[in-house]
Amino acid sequence: MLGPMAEPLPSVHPVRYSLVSPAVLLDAIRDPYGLSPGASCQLLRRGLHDTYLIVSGDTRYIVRLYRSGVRSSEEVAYELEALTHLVTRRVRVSSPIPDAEGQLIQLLAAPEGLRSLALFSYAPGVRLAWTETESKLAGALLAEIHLTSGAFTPVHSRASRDLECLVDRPLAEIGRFLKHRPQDWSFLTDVAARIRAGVTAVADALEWGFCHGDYGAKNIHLDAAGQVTAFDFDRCGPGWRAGDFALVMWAAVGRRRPEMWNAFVEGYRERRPIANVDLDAVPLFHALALLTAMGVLASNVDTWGTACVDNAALDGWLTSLRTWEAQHAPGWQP
Amino acid sequence: MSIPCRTRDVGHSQRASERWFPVTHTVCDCDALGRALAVTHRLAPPITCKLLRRGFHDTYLLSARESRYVARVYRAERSGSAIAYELGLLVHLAGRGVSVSAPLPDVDGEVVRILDAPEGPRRVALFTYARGRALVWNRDESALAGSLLAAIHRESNDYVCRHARSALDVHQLIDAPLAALQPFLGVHSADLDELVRVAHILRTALAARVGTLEWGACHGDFNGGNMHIAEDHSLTAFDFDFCGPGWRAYDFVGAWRWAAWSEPGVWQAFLEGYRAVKPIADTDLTAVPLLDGVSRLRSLGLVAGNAPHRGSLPVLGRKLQRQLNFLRSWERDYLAAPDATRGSAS
Repeated sequence: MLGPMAEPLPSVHPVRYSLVSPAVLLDAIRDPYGLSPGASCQLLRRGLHDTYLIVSGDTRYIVRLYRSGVRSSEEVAYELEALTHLVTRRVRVSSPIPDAEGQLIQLLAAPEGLRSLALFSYAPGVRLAWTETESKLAGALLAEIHLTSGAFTPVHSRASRDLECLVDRPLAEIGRFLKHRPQDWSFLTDVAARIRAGVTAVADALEWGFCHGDYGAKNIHLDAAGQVTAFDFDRCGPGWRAGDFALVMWAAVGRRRPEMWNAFVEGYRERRPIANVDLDAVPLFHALALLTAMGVLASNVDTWGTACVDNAALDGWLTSLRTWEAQHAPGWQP
Repeated sequence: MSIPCRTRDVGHSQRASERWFPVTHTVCDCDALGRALAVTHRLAPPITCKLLRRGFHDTYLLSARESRYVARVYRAERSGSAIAYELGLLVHLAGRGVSVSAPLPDVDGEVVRILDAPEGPRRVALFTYARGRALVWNRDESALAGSLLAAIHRESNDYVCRHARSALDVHQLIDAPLAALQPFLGVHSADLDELVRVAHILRTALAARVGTLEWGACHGDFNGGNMHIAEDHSLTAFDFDFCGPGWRAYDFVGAWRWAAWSEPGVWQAFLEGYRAVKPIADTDLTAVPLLDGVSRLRSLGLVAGNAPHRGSLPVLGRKLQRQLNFLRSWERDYLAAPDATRGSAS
């Protein structure tokens, strides 16, 4: 009954996701990228995509192996095109590195479908601690990204970070897991409607352009020389610039450190102006960042599991949104 | 500027019929898994199957017309004999009326099936669903948990299995975790020195006691998250993935740890619940604080060993420092009072 070689189940394909071992990955890309024979590779983290660290001689690189079906190769090409634009204009970003034939994207035939792969320069340093000096540097770097991308005329395209992307789709995804809690679902749809109305009311006045899309401490490194480098532009695209301020405001509010927020804005404005109407809208985008994060979990249950959106997890997110409401009641100042 | 892009034939699976890139783990499609298990276990439609969580293995929640089940798709590297020991133990316990989530035989009477996954053969088992919510370590529920653990220990005393499963011994609990952590601590050698020193304390203290400790089948991860309590207060244990022959005192660590930072009454209630079903010697109980330290080291080792699957950032980041701090505070408490099992003598 318990023989170790039991009868096989009928083949269960298709698979939703596959993990590639660091050693196999390294073997596959060593020659195309001219990595040294002694190079090493480790899986750094599994996020929406898989991130690997390569050490070749004295140089470090990042490999991102995109998930199949999450980003099209057109969307990946847009991201890499934007990074190439920024880095050739000396903006400090982790940028894609071409292989020996000049290719920036490799396609891997994984069991679940094609996966894009790109090699990036390593952003030196460690995660920001948000001292005032660091906040100012991070603000200045965001200004550089916005300023320099003004002249960005991409060949490839990517969906805009509009209200459909930021509100409607996340809401629909979360709805599948929240509708059995009618009161909470009505709270969420109500908040979403108010945010939607809030953005719509000022949308014409808000600055629109290329955005990083996930500009927070986890995507900025500070090196020993005191320079900051931005990475992980996976969520980039055309959008409201105010959105790129949201994660920093979120962190400043959470830490009750208005000086951190002020230093960030000051650093930004030293490089480039940003209107008060944009900054006034940032709290709306803070809530949208919460909504988007919930939406990402809800839309990945087939790969990550429904435990990510079980009642306890949903409670946590709803509490954050309720806290956000209290923090941003009329009269509140960051 | 156009971004050049090409398909690179960088390699493919060793199986000639399949031409995909070699992979080490896959997450299979829930619906396809549900359909396959509905056939092998003759489940009544409508069938829904959802991925519940990706832990060390992948766990699915399967609903048929009248019942719910949990399907576990083991990682390819988990050996058939280790799984056979686990499933055999559960069948044995369930047969004795112990409330555990037990594997269900399929139409051929098998409790384990092979799934032909791209990374290689993986074993699949379908378990009864443990009804209810996670245990809360209050006095009432701790007493129930104690009794359930005692029943698991008592009824497994005559479990014989021809399949080998590694014991929860010094090698698996101390040496293997230390070896798994070493590559990550090379750069912080002070941390490594400290870990080696703590491991030495654990090893020496264990060596002095092993002759006196009760040995037998253990759950291996007996914590509140691995028990569900239903509305009628029936308690069911599940997730025996870490089970194996070991020191019974190891299974007391979950309750001990909880009591240590909530209220001592929890520990007392747990012991009373246990002793109402099966005796346990004071010598075993005085080893629990020591095994608490062992268990912390083991948890660290498991995270480190899982880095090729989960990534090295979870090992190297703040989590490692937090876990090291746990181990430091354990050492402080332990050296101050090595036998301090609150209320054990009463």
